[in-house]
Formats: sequence, C-alpha cells, structure tokens
Amino acid sequence: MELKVKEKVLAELEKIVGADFVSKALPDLYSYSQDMTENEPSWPDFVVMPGSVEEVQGVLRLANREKIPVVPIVGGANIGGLTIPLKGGICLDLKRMDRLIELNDKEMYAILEPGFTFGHLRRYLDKNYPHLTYSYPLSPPYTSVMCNAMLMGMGDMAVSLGMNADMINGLEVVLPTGEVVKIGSCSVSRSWFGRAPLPDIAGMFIGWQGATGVVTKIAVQLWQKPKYVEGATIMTYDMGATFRFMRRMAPMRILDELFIVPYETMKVITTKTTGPFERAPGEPEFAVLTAIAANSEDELKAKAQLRDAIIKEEFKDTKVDVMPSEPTDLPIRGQIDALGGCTWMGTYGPTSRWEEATEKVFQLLDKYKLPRVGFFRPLRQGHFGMWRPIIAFNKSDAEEVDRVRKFMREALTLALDMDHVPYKAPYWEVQEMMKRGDPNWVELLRRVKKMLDPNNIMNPGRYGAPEE
Amino acid sequence: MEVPDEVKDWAARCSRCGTCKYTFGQYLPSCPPGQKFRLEGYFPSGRLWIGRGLQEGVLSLEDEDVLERIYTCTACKACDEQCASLPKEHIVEVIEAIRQMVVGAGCLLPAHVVMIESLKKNDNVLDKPKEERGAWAEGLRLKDITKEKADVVYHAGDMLSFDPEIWGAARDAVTLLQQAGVDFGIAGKEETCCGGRAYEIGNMAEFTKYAEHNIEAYNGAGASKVILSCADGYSHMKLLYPKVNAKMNFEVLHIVEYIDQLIKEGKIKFTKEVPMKVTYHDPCHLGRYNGIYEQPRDILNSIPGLELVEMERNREFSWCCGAGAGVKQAYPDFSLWTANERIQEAKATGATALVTSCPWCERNFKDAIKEYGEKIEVYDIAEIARKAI
Ligand SMILES: Cc1cc2nc3c(=O)[nH]c(=O)nc-3n(C[C@H](O)[C@H](O)[C@H](O)COP(=O)(O)OP(=O)(O)OC[C@H]3O[C@@H](n4cnc5c(N)ncnc54)[C@H](O)[C@@H]3O)c2cc1C
Ligand code: SF4
Ligand code: SF4
Repeated sequence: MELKVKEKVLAELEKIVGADFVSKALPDLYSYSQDMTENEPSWPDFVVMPGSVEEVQGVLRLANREKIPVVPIVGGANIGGLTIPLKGGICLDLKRMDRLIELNDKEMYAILEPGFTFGHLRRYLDKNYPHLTYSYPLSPPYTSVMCNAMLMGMGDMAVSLGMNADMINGLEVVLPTGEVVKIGSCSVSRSWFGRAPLPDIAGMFIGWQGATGVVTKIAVQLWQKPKYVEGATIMTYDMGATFRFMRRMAPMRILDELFIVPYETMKVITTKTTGPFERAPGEPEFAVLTAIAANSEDELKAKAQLRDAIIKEEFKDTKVDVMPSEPTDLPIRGQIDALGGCTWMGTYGPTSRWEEATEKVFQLLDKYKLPRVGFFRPLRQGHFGMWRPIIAFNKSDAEEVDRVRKFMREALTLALDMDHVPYKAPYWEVQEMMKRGDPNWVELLRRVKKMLDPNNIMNPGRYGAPEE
Repeated sequence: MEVPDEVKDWAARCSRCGTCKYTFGQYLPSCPPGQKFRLEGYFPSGRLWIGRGLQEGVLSLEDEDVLERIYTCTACKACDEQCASLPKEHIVEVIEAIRQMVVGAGCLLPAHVVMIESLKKNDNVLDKPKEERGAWAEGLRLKDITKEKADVVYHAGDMLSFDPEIWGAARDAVTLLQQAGVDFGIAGKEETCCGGRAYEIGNMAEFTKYAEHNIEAYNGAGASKVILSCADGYSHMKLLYPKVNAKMNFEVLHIVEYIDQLIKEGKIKFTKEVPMKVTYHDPCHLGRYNGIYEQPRDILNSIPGLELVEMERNREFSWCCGAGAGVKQAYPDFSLWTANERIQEAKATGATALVTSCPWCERNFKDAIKEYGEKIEVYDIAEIARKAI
C-alpha cells in the first residue's frame, strides 16, 4: 500500500473505531502475521479492533472502497493459518465484541458476539444455567464459540450430534459491502429458534473461513446437561479391533463420547517433547476415551453393561484394558499445542477407510521422524468421522519446520486419496481441492464469492478466490 | 545484538493459545496491560512473540512500540500461573531478559533512567534525598544495626521509607515486633534500596551492586533474619540474592510470615475486637512469586470481630495492583487503572476495607482511590493486626 494511501486509511480507521483500537505498530503486526502452524507468515498493514456492528460496517465500507483485504480474527487458534493475512491489509480483531446478547433457556440457545469464547460460555452457564451445556471442543478456552461453529468444528457431543455448524440457529452478518443481514428464523420473527423452514442461505457463510462476510451475531444451540456421566478409557493393542469397535458403538447411541488417540499422543502430552519414542513391549497402541451420559443411575448402568458386552465381543481375540476415568471436563488448558508449533491434517471422511489411512499415515509420520499423534472420532452416530493426525513441533527449529511442511504436503494427498476432506484447510490445501474438485463446484464457489464480495476483500486466497 | 538464552529457549514455545489471558475456570481477565490495551502485543503471548521477532531481527529495541509493550508488563506473573504449555514459569523470565537487552542497547525509557540515576545518587529509586531515609522510625527508639548487633533486621525499603502517608505499615510492623519481644534493629539512614526495581527494568549491574551491598551489611550486623513489609523487596532478596556471588548468612522473611509465626508461638496475642469487614489483596510478589497465601489469611482470621471476605480473583488468580516493575513510574495512568480494577472487585465483596501486605500496592490503591473518587479504606496488614492488640 502506498504511504499516502496508508496514512489516509489510518486516519479514517481511527475515526471509525477510535485511535486506541487501530495499530500499525510493528510488534502488533508481527503477532498477527503468523500463527502456531507451519504456514508462512504474511504481515498485515493494520490491526483494527471494532467494538460494535456499526464499526464493523464502517471498516468494511472503507475497505471495500479502497479494495483493502480484511481478515477477521478472534483467537487465531484455528490450526490452519486461516487468519494469516495472505495479501496484507486489515486484521479485524473481534475480541472486543464479546457479549452474550441473549440466552433463551426455553428454546435452549444463546446469541453470541464473535469474541465470546468457550471460557466465557462455560462461566456463564455454570453460574446462571447449570443445567445447560454446549458441545465444547478440545480447543483452548480463549477461542471463539462462533469461529468454531462457523469453521464446522466439533465438540464433546459430536459423536451423537455432529458438527457445531449443525447447531447454528441463525446469523447476523455484515456483508463486505457494508449491509447487515439476518439469516434464519430471526430474519422473519423475533425468535432465533432455527434455520428451517427457509432457504438455508447460512451456507453462504458457514465453512467459508471468513471469506464472504463478518458474522457479528450467532445463535448456537445449548443442550441439557446429563445428570449422570461415567467415563472409561480403553487401552487397545490392535488397530482393526479398535476401529471395528468404534464403528459398532457409534450408531448405537450408547456412548456420548468416543475418541481414539494413538498411544504416543499421551507421551507427547505428558513429556512435552516430540520424542522419538520407542514402543515398549506390551505397551498399548491406542487409547479409546469414552463417556456415557444418562438421566438415571439405572440408565447409566444399562448403558455401561452394553458397552462392556461389546468390548468383550470386539476384543475377544486381542488384549484390552478397560479402566474407569473421569470424563474430560472442557474447556481444558495446555494440550497438544504445548510445544509452540502445532498443525494437523484435520479431515472429515468415511470411517470405513480408517484402517488403511491410519496405517499409511503412521508410515508417513515415521518417514518424517514425527511422533504418531492423532485424534479420531466418529461423528453424528457414525455417518462420518473426524480423522486427524496432529503434529506438535518446535517452531524455532527450521529443520523440524521443513520436515513438518513436507509431511503435510504428502499427508494431504494421502487424505484426499482416502476420500477425506480437510477442514480448516490452509490456502494451499484449498488450492489443491479447487484443482481436484468438480469444475462446476469451483465455478459456483467463485460466483457466490463474487456476488457477496465483488472486490475480493474478505480473507483473500481462501475458498472461492478468483483464479490468479 | 546478543539474544539471551531465555529468549532463545522459550519465546518460540508460545503457541498463542491465549489461555494466559484469563484465570482458568473463572475466565476473568488476568493480564492487566492486555486487558487495558487489548492489542495482542500487550498480552503475555504478544511479549513472547516480540522476543521471537527480536531474535529473527524483524523487530528492533529502538522501536518505541516494542518498548511500550515490553515495559507495560507489571511482572505480576499471572501468565506464568495460567499458562499450561512450555513457556509456563518462563514468561516473566523472557520479558526480563528482553529488558536486559534494552538496557544493553541503551534504550531505557526516560522514567526508568530517572530511577537509575536516583539509585546512583540517593540509593533509592524514588528520587528522594538519602538523608530522609529512616525518618519513618522517629520516636520508636529502634536499635541501629550499623552500631550494634541484632538478631533480626527490619528492612523498610524505598516505598515505606519515603512516604509518610503509609508509614503506619512500618511503624505498626515494628511495634508488633517490639511487643513480641523480638531483638531487632534497622539500618536507618544507611539502609539502601534492595535493587529489585533495577533488576525488573533490566539493569543487572545496579541490581547486583545493591544485592552485594545488602548481603554484606546484614551479614555484618550478625542478623539471622531480615524481615520486610515490602513484598517486592522480600521477593527480590529471597529469590534473587542467592543468585549473586555472595553468601547470605541470614534468612529472609516477609512480615506476614513472621507475625503468623509469632502468633502461633503465642508471642503475639490479639485481645481487642476489630469489628471490620475486610478483603485481602495478595501482592504478586508474595503470592505468585513465593506461594504465601495462607499466612496473611490466618492472621486476619485470628483477629476477634474481623470478617474476611474473598474477592473472586484471589490467591494465585489475584489481579495485580499495577505498581510493579517500573510501571507506576513509566505508565502512571495505566498503573492507576489497574489498581482501580482491583478496587472495584474489592468493593463488590461488600468489604469496607482493602487489606494488603505491600507498600507499593497500598500506595497505588490509595492513589487510584483519589484519582477515581472511590470510597474504600486501604490498610497494610500490620496496621490491622496492631488494632487488635
Ligand atoms: C489445541 C487445540 C485444540 C483444538 N481442538 C479443536 C476441537 O476439538 N474441535 C474443533 O472444532 N476445533 C478445535 N481446534 C480449532 C480451533 O481452536 C477452534 O475451532 C476455535 O474455536 C477457533 O477459534 P478462534 O477464535 O481461534 O478462531 P480464529 O482462528 O480467530 O478464526 C477462525 C476463522 O474464522 C474467521 N473468522 C473469525 N471471526 C469471524 C467472523 N466474525 N465472521 C466471519 N469469519 C470469522 C477467521 O478469518 C478464520 O478464518 C483446536 C485448536 C487448538 C489450538
Ligand atoms: S504464554 Fe502459554 S498460555 Fe499464553 S498464549 Fe503462550 S502458550 Fe498459551
Ligand atoms: S507478568 Fe502480568 S502483566 Fe506481565 S505479561 Fe504476564 S500477566 Fe501480563
């Protein structure tokens, strides 16, 4: 950006949000130029922190007029490089918009601003509505509920309920051209009870990584907290039996939580190193973390009996250790991001391919001397699953970063070949999908993007970006 | 530019997960400058990343914006408490190492230059004449340890020595020692700064000079214990002096530890009712730095008629008073804002008085009350204890 233009833009931005909430200071720009992933840094020109919908509108109108890129961000913890401003411009930090606008306990939803985080939500519910809960992800507490849902993330109720994107009741969006639009029942009534029965145009914003507009309000579904919960951790020694067990359990609606981690994941978390780890004789291969929820002790007991019977059947030919465990109390702090760098090949896909995909990805991890860390979970009662090898790494070790980059390139090919689709996909994964994908799908993405964002200001380089 | 190991080892280990921005489980703000200025650079993660940027050579110590983000940190250590990843326990260490780089590069903030010059001239960071030191003890007839030996030395420190409005904290502390029959003395005019503020703003040479001087002086007095009412001074002597190349022959105790001990030994007895509802503020250097949470509460709970109520952020989750690490001198408005946030939290408990155990906290709370027109009393814990005798 030319210096003169930059100065003019700065003055206008300061008028819109106040001088305290615009920065062109290098230490701030540096913070927004990268994230915890291996994706290359790229510097913004400004960081802007609006405090209201009107201020967001003001910033977008200015950016649209001047054709300045705008990248919305809250926590920047998406693990996909999605808030790195690929083409500079404005990092629109929405942390100041952190209110809970309404909690409707009858229809069980909450209307939230972008900066309202899982930590805020947990505090609010525990204090005011202890009987309600949310499908909390494993992400750090200071990340946005809205961003997670808009990115089609998932939480601890995903085994039965699916993605958090499926639990969005409505949106308020500021379009790149500055208009504010409401989507869902809230567009025709006072209630934000749901998205149906209307043409579901929420899809023009959900999953777009902030490339089509700035969401300023979201209504998310809350759920009744079960009275009884029981956890069990199952140590398994055979991959086939482990995934078979998972596929059998998921559709039965017995387990409310079921995720599988390769045993080395535990080692990385507990030692806070990337190994290398030798698999000691007799050590398990996977840990399967499960939880049962019930409304009465009898229901809990009956479900546990069924679970135990199926464990017995599915692991009859191989060793298995079952131990009671505390169900994870989310949000938690300090997980796999503990080493500074963190990335993943996070995907959704058919669980029927998991034995083959996992075998292959383990070989790939070994090839790049990376620990066998991952997280696999069936979603929506097994209709599909989240398959996610995870890499924790030291960002200041250039050789390690290079290895991680190479691994990620190969892992993408592997995932796509296994019919898995990356979520929170960084720009280079998106490019690959747009290259491989149905050309008419790509064209439609571009048309939708162009219609909403004629000057391609919103998070450029993501889905629907014009061909360069 | 030489990059210290602390920066090399830990700065890049921050993933910017954001967990340190809030008190875990409560989700209340934990980092004062982050909460005030909101931009990422003012949060612990932003500061660690500045370390990285300096290491990569894309940021410079001559950049005023870098200095502002590095020096608005009150070194309250809340981030070290909240972080559960690798930087835990190393965040303030990195910030302090960057400050040492600043001093090395000759880029110290003007307000801090004044502090260092005052140290050189007056042996205190407050630009006060050296002769006025010790005036706080007038009329108390305390032993002069420069002339006679004493088992215990009471070190008043800069803030208590020169601020008549808060002398009560020191005078009541030594009165309690007198009543308990402790053999103690003070260095009076000859006392010097502990050197801690110099350390915190990055000047290792000045810090080392004062640490060596004080170790020699108190060894020379034959003291087995040095007692302080200043939480900062206590923490610096206890945690940093052992790193200096001089052997300490004395133990360092904060007055709350000592009073608590004297109560438990039956040497201090509270007999008078103190019908007050108070809340207690944990000074960062007593709490998070040294894990002293229960002794002050034990003292307050043993006072007849006194009701102690807790603020939501207490003990390791305590919100800083805003005065530490040179922030009060360099960023006075922000410092008072931070204190006022705490005053609001104290008022929300229904307490009529805010009790603390550090003169820097006391001073800053009193200043903020004036600035913001608030109404709540502020006491040092020794003043409350003294009322009960
Ligand atoms: C250790 C760890 C564990 C995780 N575990 C999980 C998990 O279990 N499940 C899961 O789903 N995710 C997980 N995540 C991913 C991620 O943290 C969450 O999805 C999180 O909620 C993202 O929030 P954020 O505030 O960091 O979003 P950001 O990274 O700030 O933003 C995410 C995206 O949304 C866009 N955006 C931001 N605000 C807006 C807006 N107002 N309007 C439009 N677009 C916007 C951004 O441009 C970006 O594309 C994990 C992350 C980490 C680091
Ligand atoms: S300092 Fe620790 S808690 Fe804070 S952002 Fe960095 S890793 Fe997370
Ligand atoms: S020490 Fe306190 S002020 Fe400094 S970065 Fe940590 S939390 Fe913030």
